[in-house]
Amino acid sequence: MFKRVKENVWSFPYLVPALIVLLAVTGYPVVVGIINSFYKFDLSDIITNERKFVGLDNFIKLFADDRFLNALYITTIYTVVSVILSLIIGVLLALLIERPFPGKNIVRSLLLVPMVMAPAATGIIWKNFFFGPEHGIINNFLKIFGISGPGWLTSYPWALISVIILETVFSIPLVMIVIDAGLMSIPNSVIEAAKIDGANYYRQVLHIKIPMIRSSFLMVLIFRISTSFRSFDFIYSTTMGGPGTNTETLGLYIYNLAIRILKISYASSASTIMGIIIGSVTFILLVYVMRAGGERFWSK
Amino acid sequence: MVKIKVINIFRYLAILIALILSLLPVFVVILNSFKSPAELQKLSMSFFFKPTLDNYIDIVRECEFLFQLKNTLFMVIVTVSLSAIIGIPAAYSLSRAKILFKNWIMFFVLLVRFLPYIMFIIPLFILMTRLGISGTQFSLFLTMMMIPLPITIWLMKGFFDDIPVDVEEAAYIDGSSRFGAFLRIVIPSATPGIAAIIVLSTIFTWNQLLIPLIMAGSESRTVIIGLLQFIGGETCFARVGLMSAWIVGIIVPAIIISLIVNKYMVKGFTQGVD
Repeated sequence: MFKRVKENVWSFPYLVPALIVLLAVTGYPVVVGIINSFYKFDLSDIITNERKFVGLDNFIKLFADDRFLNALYITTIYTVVSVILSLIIGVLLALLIERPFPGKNIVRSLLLVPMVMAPAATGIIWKNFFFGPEHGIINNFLKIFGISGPGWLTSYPWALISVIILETVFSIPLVMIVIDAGLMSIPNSVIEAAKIDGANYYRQVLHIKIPMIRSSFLMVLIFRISTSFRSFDFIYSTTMGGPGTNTETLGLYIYNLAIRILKISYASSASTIMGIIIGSVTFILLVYVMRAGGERFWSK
Repeated sequence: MVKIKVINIFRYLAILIALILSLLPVFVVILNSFKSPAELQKLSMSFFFKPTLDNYIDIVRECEFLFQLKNTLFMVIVTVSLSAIIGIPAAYSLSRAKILFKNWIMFFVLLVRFLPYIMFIIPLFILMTRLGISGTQFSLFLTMMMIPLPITIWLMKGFFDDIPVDVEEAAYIDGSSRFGAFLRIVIPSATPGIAAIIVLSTIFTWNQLLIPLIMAGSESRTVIIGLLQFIGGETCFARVGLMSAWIVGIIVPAIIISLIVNKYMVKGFTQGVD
Protein backbone atom coordinates (compact mmCIF):
# COMPACT_ATOMS: atom_id res chain seq x y z
CA MET A 1 0.00 0.00 0.00
CA PHE A 2 2.68 2.43 1.09
CA LYS A 3 4.86 1.42 -1.83
CA ARG A 4 2.02 2.07 -4.22
CA VAL A 5 1.50 5.56 -2.86
CA LYS A 6 5.20 6.29 -3.09
CA GLU A 7 5.38 5.08 -6.66
CA ASN A 8 2.53 7.28 -7.78
CA VAL A 9 3.04 10.37 -5.68
CA TRP A 10 4.73 12.12 -8.64
CA SER A 11 1.32 12.37 -10.29
CA PHE A 12 -0.04 14.91 -7.82
CA PRO A 13 1.45 18.10 -9.26
CA TYR A 14 0.48 16.87 -12.71
CA LEU A 15 -3.12 16.22 -11.83
CA VAL A 16 -4.10 18.71 -9.14
CA PRO A 17 -4.14 22.04 -11.06
CA ALA A 18 -6.46 20.67 -13.74
CA LEU A 19 -8.63 18.97 -11.16
CA ILE A 20 -9.03 22.19 -9.17
CA VAL A 21 -10.09 24.18 -12.23
CA LEU A 22 -12.37 21.39 -13.42
CA LEU A 23 -14.05 21.11 -10.04
CA ALA A 24 -14.38 24.90 -9.80
CA VAL A 25 -16.13 25.28 -13.15
CA THR A 26 -18.17 22.07 -13.19
CA GLY A 27 -18.18 20.19 -9.88
CA TYR A 28 -18.94 23.25 -7.77
CA PRO A 29 -21.82 24.44 -10.00
CA VAL A 30 -23.46 21.01 -10.11
CA VAL A 31 -23.53 20.76 -6.32
CA VAL A 32 -24.57 24.38 -5.76
CA GLY A 33 -27.16 24.15 -8.53
CA ILE A 34 -28.79 21.14 -6.88
CA ILE A 35 -28.77 22.88 -3.48
CA ASN A 36 -30.24 26.05 -5.04
CA SER A 37 -33.14 24.02 -6.43
CA PHE A 38 -34.50 23.67 -2.91
CA TYR A 39 -34.50 27.41 -2.19
CA LYS A 40 -36.46 30.36 -3.42
CA PHE A 41 -34.67 33.53 -4.51
CA ASP A 42 -34.36 35.76 -7.54
CA LEU A 43 -31.60 37.87 -9.04
CA SER A 44 -32.00 40.81 -6.66
CA ASP A 45 -31.66 38.47 -3.68
CA ILE A 46 -28.26 37.32 -4.86
CA ILE A 47 -26.43 40.41 -3.64
CA THR A 48 -28.14 40.41 -0.25
CA ASN A 49 -27.87 36.63 -0.07
CA GLU A 50 -31.43 36.32 1.16
CA ARG A 51 -33.00 32.99 0.41
CA LYS A 52 -35.74 30.82 1.74
CA PHE A 53 -35.70 27.05 1.98
CA VAL A 54 -38.79 25.71 0.22
CA GLY A 55 -38.05 21.99 -0.06
CA LEU A 56 -39.49 20.37 -3.15
CA ASP A 57 -41.73 23.33 -3.94
CA ASN A 58 -39.88 24.32 -7.10
CA PHE A 59 -40.08 20.81 -8.49
CA ILE A 60 -43.78 20.50 -7.72
CA LYS A 61 -44.39 23.83 -9.45
CA LEU A 62 -42.32 22.76 -12.45
CA PHE A 63 -44.40 19.68 -13.09
CA ALA A 64 -47.50 21.84 -13.06
CA ASP A 65 -45.85 24.47 -15.26
CA ASP A 66 -47.26 24.12 -18.78
CA ARG A 67 -44.39 26.04 -20.28
CA PHE A 68 -41.86 23.68 -18.69
CA LEU A 69 -43.75 20.58 -19.79
CA ASN A 70 -44.06 22.05 -23.27
CA ALA A 71 -40.29 22.71 -23.32
CA LEU A 72 -39.64 19.13 -22.23
CA TYR A 73 -41.92 17.86 -24.99
CA ILE A 74 -40.36 20.11 -27.66
CA THR A 75 -36.85 19.15 -26.56
CA THR A 76 -37.70 15.45 -26.77
CA ILE A 77 -39.09 15.74 -30.29
CA TYR A 78 -36.19 17.95 -31.35
CA THR A 79 -33.64 15.49 -29.98
CA VAL A 80 -35.25 12.25 -31.16
CA VAL A 81 -35.97 13.43 -34.71
CA SER A 82 -32.64 15.17 -35.30
CA VAL A 83 -30.64 12.30 -33.80
CA ILE A 84 -32.41 9.68 -35.93
CA LEU A 85 -32.12 11.75 -39.11
CA SER A 86 -28.48 12.65 -38.59
CA LEU A 87 -27.56 9.05 -37.81
CA ILE A 88 -29.29 7.69 -40.91
CA ILE A 89 -27.90 10.33 -43.27
CA GLY A 90 -24.49 10.33 -41.59
CA VAL A 91 -24.10 6.55 -41.94
CA LEU A 92 -25.26 6.68 -45.58
CA LEU A 93 -22.76 9.44 -46.35
CA ALA A 94 -19.98 7.51 -44.64
CA LEU A 95 -20.81 4.48 -46.80
CA LEU A 96 -20.90 6.70 -49.89
CA ILE A 97 -17.45 8.18 -49.35
CA GLU A 98 -15.93 4.99 -47.99
CA ARG A 99 -14.55 3.54 -51.21
CA PRO A 100 -11.70 5.58 -52.72
CA PHE A 101 -12.53 8.02 -55.49
CA PRO A 102 -10.58 10.92 -56.97
CA GLY A 103 -10.60 13.89 -54.61
CA LYS A 104 -11.92 11.89 -51.68
CA ASN A 105 -9.88 13.72 -49.05
CA ILE A 106 -10.90 17.20 -50.15
CA VAL A 107 -14.55 16.13 -50.48
CA ARG A 108 -14.52 14.71 -46.98
CA SER A 109 -12.94 17.88 -45.61
CA LEU A 110 -15.53 20.05 -47.32
CA LEU A 111 -18.39 17.90 -46.00
CA LEU A 112 -17.21 18.80 -42.49
CA VAL A 113 -17.77 22.52 -43.05
CA PRO A 114 -21.28 22.66 -41.49
CA MET A 115 -19.84 21.27 -38.27
CA VAL A 116 -17.11 23.89 -37.80
CA MET A 117 -19.33 26.88 -38.50
CA ALA A 118 -20.60 28.63 -35.39
CA PRO A 119 -24.19 27.39 -34.87
CA ALA A 120 -25.34 30.91 -34.11
CA ALA A 121 -23.91 32.12 -37.45
CA THR A 122 -25.47 29.17 -39.29
CA GLY A 123 -28.82 29.96 -37.70
CA ILE A 124 -28.67 33.59 -38.78
CA ILE A 125 -27.62 32.67 -42.33
CA TRP A 126 -30.56 30.30 -42.71
CA LYS A 127 -32.95 32.71 -41.10
CA ASN A 128 -32.00 35.58 -43.39
CA PHE A 129 -31.32 33.90 -46.69
CA PHE A 130 -33.09 30.55 -46.72
CA PHE A 131 -36.17 30.56 -44.53
CA GLY A 132 -37.57 33.96 -45.52
CA PRO A 133 -41.26 33.63 -46.48
CA GLU A 134 -41.01 35.76 -49.65
CA HIS A 135 -37.43 36.18 -50.74
CA GLY A 136 -35.97 33.15 -49.00
CA ILE A 137 -34.03 30.73 -51.19
CA ILE A 138 -36.17 27.73 -50.20
CA ASN A 139 -39.46 29.36 -51.10
CA ASN A 140 -38.02 30.78 -54.32
CA PHE A 141 -36.88 27.29 -55.19
CA LEU A 142 -40.32 25.84 -54.41
CA LYS A 143 -41.93 28.51 -56.57
CA ILE A 144 -40.30 26.90 -59.62
CA PHE A 145 -42.54 23.92 -59.01
CA GLY A 146 -45.53 26.13 -58.33
CA ILE A 147 -45.53 25.47 -54.59
CA SER A 148 -45.91 28.44 -52.32
CA GLY A 149 -43.83 27.65 -49.26
CA PRO A 150 -44.82 28.47 -45.69
CA GLY A 151 -43.27 31.09 -43.41
CA TRP A 152 -40.66 28.61 -42.26
CA LEU A 153 -39.72 30.12 -38.94
CA THR A 154 -42.99 31.81 -38.12
CA SER A 155 -45.69 29.18 -38.48
CA TYR A 156 -46.69 25.95 -36.80
CA PRO A 157 -45.37 23.25 -37.28
CA TRP A 158 -42.78 24.54 -39.75
CA ALA A 159 -40.76 26.48 -37.17
CA LEU A 160 -39.96 23.30 -35.24
CA ILE A 161 -39.26 21.42 -38.46
CA SER A 162 -36.89 24.18 -39.58
CA VAL A 163 -34.81 24.20 -36.41
CA ILE A 164 -34.69 20.39 -36.49
CA ILE A 165 -33.34 20.64 -40.06
CA LEU A 166 -30.62 23.03 -38.84
CA GLU A 167 -29.64 20.73 -35.98
CA THR A 168 -29.57 17.74 -38.35
CA VAL A 169 -27.45 19.44 -41.00
CA PHE A 170 -25.04 20.56 -38.28
CA SER A 171 -24.66 17.08 -36.81
CA ILE A 172 -24.45 14.90 -39.93
CA PRO A 173 -20.69 15.54 -40.39
CA LEU A 174 -19.85 14.28 -36.90
CA VAL A 175 -21.73 11.03 -37.49
CA MET A 176 -20.12 10.74 -40.91
CA ILE A 177 -16.51 11.03 -39.77
CA VAL A 178 -16.93 8.79 -36.74
CA ILE A 179 -18.61 6.07 -38.80
CA ASP A 180 -16.04 6.60 -41.57
CA ALA A 181 -13.23 6.02 -39.06
CA GLY A 182 -15.08 2.94 -37.79
CA LEU A 183 -15.45 1.57 -41.32
CA MET A 184 -11.78 2.17 -42.07
CA SER A 185 -10.79 0.19 -38.99
CA ILE A 186 -12.51 -2.96 -40.29
CA PRO A 187 -9.71 -5.28 -41.45
CA ASN A 188 -9.65 -5.77 -45.20
CA SER A 189 -9.36 -9.54 -44.75
CA VAL A 190 -12.85 -9.68 -43.24
CA ILE A 191 -14.39 -7.99 -46.29
CA GLU A 192 -12.33 -10.16 -48.66
CA ALA A 193 -13.48 -13.30 -46.87
CA ALA A 194 -17.09 -12.20 -47.21
CA LYS A 195 -16.60 -11.54 -50.91
CA ILE A 196 -15.16 -15.02 -51.41
CA ASP A 197 -18.19 -16.42 -49.63
CA GLY A 198 -20.28 -14.61 -52.23
CA ALA A 199 -21.71 -11.80 -50.13
CA ASN A 200 -22.80 -8.89 -52.33
CA TYR A 201 -22.28 -5.26 -51.31
CA TYR A 202 -25.57 -4.91 -49.45
CA ARG A 203 -24.97 -8.08 -47.49
CA GLN A 204 -21.48 -6.89 -46.61
CA VAL A 205 -22.94 -3.65 -45.29
CA LEU A 206 -25.79 -5.24 -43.38
CA HIS A 207 -24.08 -8.29 -41.93
CA ILE A 208 -20.45 -7.24 -41.57
CA LYS A 209 -19.92 -3.50 -41.66
CA ILE A 210 -22.82 -2.34 -39.52
CA PRO A 211 -22.28 -4.95 -36.78
CA MET A 212 -18.55 -4.17 -36.71
CA ILE A 213 -19.00 -0.44 -36.24
CA ARG A 214 -21.52 -0.95 -33.45
CA SER A 215 -19.44 0.57 -30.68
CA SER A 216 -18.55 3.73 -32.66
CA PHE A 217 -22.21 3.96 -33.61
CA LEU A 218 -23.30 3.80 -29.97
CA MET A 219 -20.75 6.38 -28.86
CA VAL A 220 -21.73 8.83 -31.56
CA LEU A 221 -25.35 8.21 -30.58
CA ILE A 222 -24.61 9.23 -26.98
CA PHE A 223 -22.78 12.37 -28.11
CA ARG A 224 -25.55 13.28 -30.50
CA ILE A 225 -28.28 12.81 -27.90
CA SER A 226 -26.49 14.96 -25.34
CA THR A 227 -25.63 17.80 -27.73
CA SER A 228 -29.09 17.91 -29.29
CA PHE A 229 -30.73 17.82 -25.90
CA ARG A 230 -28.88 20.92 -24.72
CA SER A 231 -29.00 22.66 -28.11
CA PHE A 232 -29.54 26.37 -27.68
CA ASP A 233 -27.72 28.31 -30.40
CA PHE A 234 -29.89 27.41 -33.39
CA ILE A 235 -33.11 28.29 -31.65
CA TYR A 236 -31.77 31.43 -30.01
CA SER A 237 -30.47 32.73 -33.33
CA THR A 238 -33.58 31.90 -35.38
CA THR A 239 -36.96 31.64 -33.67
CA MET A 240 -36.14 32.62 -30.06
CA GLY A 241 -38.62 29.92 -29.10
CA GLY A 242 -41.45 31.23 -31.24
CA PRO A 243 -44.00 31.32 -32.62
CA GLY A 244 -45.45 31.38 -29.11
CA THR A 245 -43.56 28.62 -27.36
CA ASN A 246 -43.58 26.29 -30.35
CA THR A 247 -39.82 25.90 -30.47
CA GLU A 248 -38.92 26.72 -26.88
CA THR A 249 -36.56 23.96 -25.78
CA LEU A 250 -35.47 23.30 -22.21
CA GLY A 251 -32.16 25.08 -22.70
CA LEU A 252 -33.88 28.19 -23.95
CA TYR A 253 -36.63 28.13 -21.31
CA ILE A 254 -34.08 27.80 -18.52
CA TYR A 255 -32.04 30.64 -20.03
CA ASN A 256 -35.19 32.77 -20.18
CA LEU A 257 -36.09 31.91 -16.59
CA ALA A 258 -32.66 32.79 -15.26
CA ILE A 259 -31.71 35.79 -17.38
CA ARG A 260 -35.00 37.32 -18.59
CA ILE A 261 -37.55 36.37 -15.93
CA LEU A 262 -34.89 36.42 -13.19
CA LYS A 263 -36.34 33.47 -11.27
CA ILE A 264 -32.92 32.05 -10.61
CA SER A 265 -33.78 29.33 -8.11
CA TYR A 266 -36.65 28.10 -10.28
CA ALA A 267 -34.25 27.97 -13.23
CA SER A 268 -31.85 25.96 -11.08
CA SER A 269 -34.52 23.38 -10.36
CA ALA A 270 -35.38 23.13 -14.04
CA SER A 271 -31.72 22.68 -14.97
CA THR A 272 -31.33 20.04 -12.27
CA ILE A 273 -34.16 18.07 -13.85
CA MET A 274 -32.60 18.58 -17.28
CA GLY A 275 -29.27 17.31 -15.94
CA ILE A 276 -30.88 14.29 -14.31
CA ILE A 277 -32.67 13.34 -17.53
CA ILE A 278 -29.66 13.60 -19.80
CA GLY A 279 -27.34 12.22 -17.12
CA SER A 280 -29.39 9.07 -16.71
CA VAL A 281 -29.98 8.58 -20.45
CA THR A 282 -26.25 8.83 -21.21
CA PHE A 283 -25.37 6.72 -18.17
CA ILE A 284 -27.66 3.88 -19.26
CA LEU A 285 -26.27 4.06 -22.81
CA LEU A 286 -22.68 4.13 -21.52
CA VAL A 287 -23.27 1.02 -19.43
CA TYR A 288 -24.73 -0.59 -22.53
CA VAL A 289 -21.67 0.42 -24.58
CA MET A 290 -19.37 -1.09 -21.99
CA ARG A 291 -21.35 -4.32 -22.03
CA ALA A 292 -21.27 -4.26 -25.84
CA GLY A 293 -17.51 -4.39 -25.79
CA GLY A 294 -16.40 -0.81 -25.40
CA GLU A 295 -14.27 -1.60 -22.33
CA ARG A 296 -11.23 -0.05 -23.95
CA PHE A 297 -13.10 3.12 -23.32
CA TRP A 298 -12.59 2.99 -19.55
CA SER A 299 -9.74 1.01 -18.39
CA LYS A 300 -6.89 0.99 -20.78
CA MET B 1 -20.26 -3.86 -65.60
CA VAL B 2 -22.80 -1.36 -66.86
CA LYS B 3 -24.73 -1.82 -63.64
CA ILE B 4 -21.70 -0.90 -61.54
CA LYS B 5 -21.19 2.26 -63.59
CA VAL B 6 -24.81 3.30 -63.07
CA ILE B 7 -24.46 2.77 -59.32
CA ASN B 8 -21.29 4.84 -59.34
CA ILE B 9 -23.02 7.68 -61.14
CA PHE B 10 -25.71 7.72 -58.46
CA ARG B 11 -23.04 7.64 -55.81
CA TYR B 12 -21.19 10.64 -57.22
CA LEU B 13 -24.46 12.45 -57.71
CA ALA B 14 -25.41 11.90 -54.06
CA ILE B 15 -21.98 13.10 -52.91
CA LEU B 16 -22.29 16.16 -55.14
CA ILE B 17 -25.71 17.02 -53.69
CA ALA B 18 -24.38 16.65 -50.15
CA LEU B 19 -21.44 18.91 -51.01
CA ILE B 20 -23.69 21.57 -52.53
CA LEU B 21 -26.04 21.54 -49.54
CA SER B 22 -23.12 21.75 -47.10
CA LEU B 23 -21.44 24.64 -48.84
CA LEU B 24 -24.44 26.61 -50.08
CA PRO B 25 -24.89 28.67 -46.88
CA VAL B 26 -21.20 29.65 -46.90
CA PHE B 27 -21.40 30.58 -50.57
CA VAL B 28 -24.56 32.64 -50.10
CA VAL B 29 -23.24 34.59 -47.15
CA ILE B 30 -19.91 35.33 -48.83
CA LEU B 31 -21.74 36.49 -51.95
CA ASN B 32 -23.99 38.81 -49.97
CA SER B 33 -21.13 40.26 -47.96
CA PHE B 34 -19.78 41.84 -51.15
CA LYS B 35 -23.07 43.43 -52.20
CA SER B 36 -24.02 47.07 -51.83
CA PRO B 37 -27.30 47.98 -50.06
CA ALA B 38 -28.95 48.70 -53.43
CA GLU B 39 -27.91 45.29 -54.69
CA LEU B 40 -29.26 43.65 -51.53
CA GLN B 41 -32.70 45.13 -52.13
CA LYS B 42 -33.06 42.76 -55.06
CA LEU B 43 -33.48 39.02 -54.77
CA SER B 44 -30.90 37.42 -52.54
CA MET B 45 -29.55 35.08 -55.21
CA SER B 46 -28.19 37.34 -57.93
CA PHE B 47 -24.74 36.30 -59.09
CA PHE B 48 -23.74 39.23 -61.25
CA PHE B 49 -23.09 42.46 -59.45
CA LYS B 50 -20.25 44.86 -58.82
CA PRO B 51 -18.53 43.61 -55.66
CA THR B 52 -17.77 46.14 -52.96
CA LEU B 53 -15.75 45.98 -49.77
CA ASP B 54 -17.96 48.60 -48.10
CA ASN B 55 -19.58 46.12 -45.73
CA TYR B 56 -16.23 45.01 -44.38
CA ILE B 57 -15.07 48.59 -43.99
CA ASP B 58 -18.32 49.49 -42.22
CA ILE B 59 -18.28 46.67 -39.66
CA VAL B 60 -14.80 47.79 -38.68
CA ARG B 61 -15.72 51.48 -38.59
CA GLU B 62 -19.22 51.40 -37.14
CA CYS B 63 -19.77 48.14 -35.32
CA GLU B 64 -16.51 47.65 -33.44
CA PHE B 65 -15.69 44.42 -35.23
CA LEU B 66 -11.96 44.60 -34.53
CA PHE B 67 -12.48 45.25 -30.82
CA GLN B 68 -14.66 42.16 -30.51
CA LEU B 69 -12.32 40.13 -32.69
CA LYS B 70 -9.46 41.07 -30.39
CA ASN B 71 -11.53 40.05 -27.34
CA THR B 72 -12.41 36.73 -28.93
CA LEU B 73 -8.84 35.95 -29.98
CA PHE B 74 -7.59 36.84 -26.52
CA MET B 75 -10.23 34.61 -24.92
CA VAL B 76 -9.49 31.67 -27.23
CA ILE B 77 -5.72 31.94 -26.80
CA VAL B 78 -5.89 32.20 -23.01
CA THR B 79 -8.44 29.45 -22.39
CA VAL B 80 -7.10 26.99 -24.95
CA SER B 81 -3.47 27.36 -23.90
CA LEU B 82 -4.29 27.32 -20.20
CA SER B 83 -6.32 24.15 -20.57
CA ALA B 84 -3.50 22.60 -22.59
CA ILE B 85 -0.93 23.57 -19.95
CA ILE B 86 -2.87 22.11 -17.04
CA GLY B 87 -4.85 19.46 -18.93
CA ILE B 88 -2.02 17.67 -20.74
CA PRO B 89 -0.01 16.83 -17.57
CA ALA B 90 -3.26 15.78 -15.87
CA ALA B 91 -4.09 13.45 -18.76
CA TYR B 92 -0.55 12.08 -18.63
CA SER B 93 -0.82 11.29 -14.94
CA LEU B 94 -4.24 9.70 -15.45
CA SER B 95 -2.71 7.54 -18.16
CA ARG B 96 0.45 6.46 -16.33
CA ALA B 97 -0.13 6.56 -12.57
CA LYS B 98 -2.35 4.41 -10.42
CA ILE B 99 -4.55 7.09 -8.99
CA LEU B 100 -7.27 6.57 -6.45
CA PHE B 101 -10.74 7.12 -7.99
CA LYS B 102 -9.13 7.28 -11.43
CA ASN B 103 -12.13 5.75 -13.17
CA TRP B 104 -14.40 8.13 -11.30
CA ILE B 105 -12.34 11.11 -12.42
CA MET B 106 -12.51 9.94 -16.03
CA PHE B 107 -16.23 9.29 -15.71
CA PHE B 108 -16.74 12.79 -14.36
CA VAL B 109 -14.71 14.32 -17.20
CA LEU B 110 -16.88 12.48 -19.69
CA LEU B 111 -20.11 13.34 -17.90
CA VAL B 112 -19.19 17.03 -18.02
CA ARG B 113 -19.19 16.78 -21.80
CA PHE B 114 -22.73 15.35 -21.77
CA LEU B 115 -24.44 17.61 -19.23
CA PRO B 116 -26.13 20.84 -20.36
CA TYR B 117 -23.82 23.86 -20.04
CA ILE B 118 -26.63 25.98 -18.62
CA MET B 119 -26.51 23.76 -15.53
CA PHE B 120 -22.94 24.87 -14.82
CA ILE B 121 -23.38 28.45 -15.92
CA ILE B 122 -26.24 29.52 -13.62
CA PRO B 123 -24.46 28.80 -10.31
CA LEU B 124 -21.25 30.35 -11.65
CA PHE B 125 -23.23 33.40 -12.73
CA ILE B 126 -24.70 33.66 -9.21
CA LEU B 127 -21.23 33.36 -7.71
CA MET B 128 -19.71 35.96 -10.02
CA THR B 129 -22.57 38.36 -9.35
CA ARG B 130 -22.18 37.94 -5.62
CA LEU B 131 -18.44 38.55 -5.87
CA GLY B 132 -19.16 41.59 -8.01
CA ILE B 133 -17.05 40.36 -10.91
CA SER B 134 -19.75 39.34 -13.37
CA GLY B 135 -19.09 40.73 -16.82
CA THR B 136 -15.33 40.84 -16.33
CA GLN B 137 -12.88 39.04 -18.54
CA PHE B 138 -11.82 36.86 -15.63
CA SER B 139 -15.31 35.48 -15.05
CA LEU B 140 -15.78 34.84 -18.78
CA PHE B 141 -12.45 33.06 -19.17
CA LEU B 142 -12.89 30.95 -16.05
CA THR B 143 -16.37 29.84 -17.10
CA MET B 144 -15.17 29.17 -20.63
CA MET B 145 -12.63 26.67 -19.26
CA MET B 146 -15.49 24.17 -19.01
CA ILE B 147 -15.32 23.73 -22.81
CA PRO B 148 -11.63 23.07 -23.62
CA LEU B 149 -10.50 21.44 -20.36
CA PRO B 150 -12.62 18.25 -20.43
CA ILE B 151 -11.84 17.82 -24.15
CA THR B 152 -8.13 18.14 -23.42
CA ILE B 153 -8.08 15.71 -20.51
CA TRP B 154 -10.29 13.11 -22.17
CA LEU B 155 -8.57 13.13 -25.57
CA MET B 156 -5.01 13.40 -24.31
CA LYS B 157 -5.49 10.47 -21.95
CA GLY B 158 -6.49 8.38 -24.95
CA PHE B 159 -3.48 9.56 -26.93
CA PHE B 160 -1.06 8.91 -24.04
CA ASP B 161 -2.52 5.43 -23.58
CA ASP B 162 -1.51 4.69 -27.16
CA ILE B 163 2.12 5.70 -26.60
CA PRO B 164 4.21 2.76 -25.35
CA VAL B 165 5.78 3.19 -21.90
CA ASP B 166 9.08 1.50 -22.88
CA VAL B 167 10.80 4.62 -24.21
CA GLU B 168 10.10 6.58 -21.04
CA GLU B 169 11.36 3.74 -18.90
CA ALA B 170 14.56 3.62 -20.93
CA ALA B 171 14.96 7.33 -20.21
CA TYR B 172 14.60 6.79 -16.44
CA ILE B 173 17.32 4.15 -16.56
CA ASP B 174 19.51 6.72 -18.31
CA GLY B 175 18.94 9.01 -15.34
CA SER B 176 16.23 11.28 -16.71
CA SER B 177 13.69 12.69 -14.26
CA ARG B 178 9.96 12.05 -14.66
CA PHE B 179 9.36 15.62 -15.75
CA GLY B 180 12.37 15.61 -18.04
CA ALA B 181 11.11 12.48 -19.79
CA PHE B 182 7.62 13.99 -19.99
CA LEU B 183 8.92 17.13 -21.68
CA ARG B 184 11.54 15.61 -23.94
CA ILE B 185 10.05 12.25 -24.87
CA VAL B 186 6.33 12.06 -24.20
CA ILE B 187 5.26 15.51 -25.41
CA PRO B 188 7.11 15.29 -28.75
CA SER B 189 5.59 11.89 -29.51
CA ALA B 190 2.13 13.22 -28.63
CA THR B 191 2.23 16.26 -30.94
CA PRO B 192 -0.47 14.96 -33.32
CA GLY B 193 -2.76 14.52 -30.32
CA ILE B 194 -1.90 17.96 -28.98
CA ALA B 195 -2.61 19.46 -32.41
CA ALA B 196 -5.99 17.69 -32.38
CA ILE B 197 -7.03 19.02 -28.98
CA ILE B 198 -5.89 22.55 -29.81
CA VAL B 199 -7.89 22.60 -33.05
CA LEU B 200 -10.98 21.18 -31.39
CA SER B 201 -10.82 23.44 -28.34
CA THR B 202 -10.21 26.49 -30.51
CA ILE B 203 -13.21 25.80 -32.72
CA PHE B 204 -15.56 25.06 -29.81
CA THR B 205 -14.43 28.09 -27.81
CA TRP B 206 -14.53 30.39 -30.84
CA ASN B 207 -18.08 29.27 -31.70
CA GLN B 208 -19.46 29.31 -28.16
CA LEU B 209 -22.63 31.39 -27.74
CA LEU B 210 -24.24 30.60 -24.40
CA ILE B 211 -21.28 31.25 -22.09
CA PRO B 212 -20.38 34.72 -23.41
CA LEU B 213 -24.08 35.53 -23.70
CA ILE B 214 -24.39 35.23 -19.93
CA MET B 215 -20.86 35.97 -18.80
CA ALA B 216 -19.44 38.59 -21.15
CA GLY B 217 -19.78 42.27 -20.30
CA SER B 218 -19.49 45.17 -22.74
CA GLU B 219 -15.72 45.07 -22.32
CA SER B 220 -15.35 41.39 -23.11
CA ARG B 221 -18.02 40.72 -25.73
CA THR B 222 -17.03 38.26 -28.42
CA VAL B 223 -17.72 38.29 -32.17
CA ILE B 224 -20.54 35.78 -31.69
CA ILE B 225 -22.25 38.13 -29.22
CA GLY B 226 -21.55 40.99 -31.62
CA LEU B 227 -23.39 39.07 -34.31
CA LEU B 228 -26.56 39.20 -32.23
CA GLN B 229 -26.74 42.99 -32.63
CA PHE B 230 -27.99 42.30 -36.16
CA ILE B 231 -31.03 40.43 -34.91
CA GLY B 232 -31.61 42.58 -31.85
CA GLY B 233 -32.43 46.25 -32.18
CA GLU B 234 -29.00 47.87 -31.89
CA THR B 235 -27.01 50.25 -34.10
CA CYS B 236 -26.24 47.78 -36.83
CA PHE B 237 -29.69 46.19 -36.83
CA ALA B 238 -31.21 44.92 -40.07
CA ARG B 239 -28.27 45.71 -42.29
CA VAL B 240 -27.92 42.49 -44.18
CA GLY B 241 -24.68 43.42 -45.91
CA LEU B 242 -22.90 44.22 -42.67
CA MET B 243 -24.33 41.12 -41.07
CA SER B 244 -23.02 38.96 -43.91
CA ALA B 245 -19.56 40.48 -43.63
CA TRP B 246 -19.64 39.87 -39.89
CA ILE B 247 -20.62 36.21 -40.36
CA VAL B 248 -17.85 35.77 -42.92
CA GLY B 249 -15.47 37.12 -40.30
CA ILE B 250 -16.64 34.43 -37.89
CA ILE B 251 -16.97 31.36 -40.08
CA VAL B 252 -14.18 31.76 -42.64
CA PRO B 253 -11.31 31.56 -40.11
CA ALA B 254 -12.88 28.43 -38.58
CA ILE B 255 -13.37 26.83 -42.00
CA ILE B 256 -9.82 27.66 -43.11
CA ILE B 257 -8.36 26.22 -39.90
CA SER B 258 -10.47 23.10 -40.30
CA LEU B 259 -9.33 22.60 -43.89
CA ILE B 260 -5.64 23.19 -43.16
CA VAL B 261 -5.45 20.87 -40.15
CA ASN B 262 -8.23 18.58 -41.28
CA LYS B 263 -6.30 15.43 -40.42
CA TYR B 264 -5.90 16.48 -36.79
CA MET B 265 -9.45 17.70 -36.49
CA VAL B 266 -10.86 14.41 -37.73
CA LYS B 267 -8.54 12.60 -35.35
CA GLY B 268 -9.82 14.72 -32.49
CA PHE B 269 -13.47 14.25 -33.33
CA THR B 270 -13.27 10.51 -33.90
CA GLN B 271 -11.06 9.83 -30.86
CA GLY B 272 -13.18 12.14 -28.78
CA VAL B 273 -16.28 10.17 -29.56
CA ASP B 274 -14.76 6.73 -29.68
